Amino acid sequence: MNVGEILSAQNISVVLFFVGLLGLLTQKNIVRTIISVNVMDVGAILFLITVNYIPGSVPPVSPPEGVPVADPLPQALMITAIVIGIAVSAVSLAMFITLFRRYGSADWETVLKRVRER
Amino acid sequence: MIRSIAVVIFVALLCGTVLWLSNTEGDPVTPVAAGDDIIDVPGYVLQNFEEQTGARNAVAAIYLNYRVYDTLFEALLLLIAIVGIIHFFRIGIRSEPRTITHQRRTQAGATEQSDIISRITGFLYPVVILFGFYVIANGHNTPGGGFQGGAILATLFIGRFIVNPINDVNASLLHDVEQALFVLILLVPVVFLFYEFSGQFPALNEPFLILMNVLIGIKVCLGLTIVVFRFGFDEENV
Repeated sequence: MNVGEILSAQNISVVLFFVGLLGLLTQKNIVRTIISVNVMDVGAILFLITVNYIPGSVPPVSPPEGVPVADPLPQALMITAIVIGIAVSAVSLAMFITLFRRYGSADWETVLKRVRER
Repeated sequence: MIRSIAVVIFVALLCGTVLWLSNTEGDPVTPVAAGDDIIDVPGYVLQNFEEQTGARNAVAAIYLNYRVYDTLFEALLLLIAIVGIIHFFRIGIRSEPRTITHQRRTQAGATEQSDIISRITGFLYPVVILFGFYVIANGHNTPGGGFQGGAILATLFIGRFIVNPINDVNASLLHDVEQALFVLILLVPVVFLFYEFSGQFPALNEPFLILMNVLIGIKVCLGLTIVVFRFGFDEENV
């Protein structure tokens, strides 16, 4: 196994996903949690883009005959996933701003403590 | 401390397992055959999309024709996200008592702009408009499309916000226009594709793709603009 095989897009996407999961489990700051969700999202998108990858294939835009053509289906689905990722992060940041205004902290534990006090 | 080490070890084990599983050569998959016809979706799409949809970009053919439901619900999701963002900022303002005092953006801070950025951004406006509309209108023939072109057009408004952060954009009007565009985005494919005009009038396929890309592009542009302005002016604009 050489370096190119170890650092394939598939392996990197798996590692990215779990880096995001680790951040989700360990970070106490809400903004960092949102960033971790985004990192997981990027990992999933990268993984699904590499599905059914054919080496040496050309883009599926008026493909010539006799050349392997990349599978257009994952690409079309990932356009959707990217827009959904943007929407999710924007809504969670808006929720965070509301939470911060009400409880004055970006720390999960402090916020939970203040919620229980009220 | 022990807890976080345990979490790190747990996640590393999971990651290693998934990496090991995804790199192991499994048994070669025998294609599922229904009768003798092997169902090969990418092959079918790549063979037929040009005559069936009139597009030359297979990705545009998929998200505007074969899988148009995806696009419809994605547009709906973007709309709902924007409604949610507006709602959250509204209840955030109304909540009393405030535990934190905000430093309002001072007038001096608002006018203190870099001259270089202002001039270069002003110079870039026509280029950005041209490029955005090019990407939108050629989305069915070249890489591009409504979502990408809409994001490019939204950089226009974002650049304007950077140069001159004055809140004179009527966000509620933009939101109404966006909702109207969403209804159009719903109606056009429903009428055109589900009543099978697509097969009866093949000449209309390409205008349909261009119309859908333009509608989606303007809608995405307005949506991203509303989001950016809502975040930028969240203290004044309620």
